[in-house]
Amino acid sequence: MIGTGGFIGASLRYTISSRVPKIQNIPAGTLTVNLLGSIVLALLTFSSEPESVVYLVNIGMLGSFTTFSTFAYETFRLLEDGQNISFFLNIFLNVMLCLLGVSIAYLALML
Amino acid sequence: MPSQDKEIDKIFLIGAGGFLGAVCRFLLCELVEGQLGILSVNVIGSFMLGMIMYDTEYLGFIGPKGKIAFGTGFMGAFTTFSTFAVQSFSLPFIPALGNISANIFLTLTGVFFGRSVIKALSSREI
Repeated sequence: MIGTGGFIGASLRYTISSRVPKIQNIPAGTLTVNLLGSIVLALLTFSSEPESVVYLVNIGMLGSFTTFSTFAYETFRLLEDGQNISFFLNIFLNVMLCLLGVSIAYLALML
Repeated sequence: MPSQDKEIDKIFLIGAGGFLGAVCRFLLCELVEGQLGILSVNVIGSFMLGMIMYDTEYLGFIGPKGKIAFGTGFMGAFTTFSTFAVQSFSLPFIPALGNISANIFLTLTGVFFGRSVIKALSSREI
């Protein structure tokens, strides 16, 4: 279940993130998948769902759809290339937008 | 169309890597529970991805297919942002801040160490 979800999630991540170009110096592809994945995971986590869905979709698919390693590598790369503003902006955008996305999903379910 | 075939090959390699990456993440998170489990997979995965990406630049030990399968597929799926975001949201303010700082700082350090290992190996080979 988790592996199958991982297969789908990782392929989808590549398909989507490789189509989003960099905006200024910000790797927007990774930001897009992280934001989308965080919102969907929040919607599922804060609503009740059957356990089999948790393994396939939450842990497998969404876990693999979003990524931390590519985010860390791309961010490190910005620092290495002396793009200090983009470096901080990329961290700020990933953390803040994903947390904001999760909060909105949480509030939407409360209504 | 040959270019489309290549794209399908790529997606299959990434999917296969993603299958294994997701299973390994689950197994490690069974051993180390909660935020520390996610922190561990993120730091280990970032260190490994750092090695894979800088290897392409300095050593060339891993070919383009390996980079896609292990880097984009396996490490991409092994590490995760969505669970990290939902966990951080669910924590009280101070622990959340600690969790976010630890993940950012330690994964960047992981990439740095990955690069250092590859650089050390490449200077030895000359």
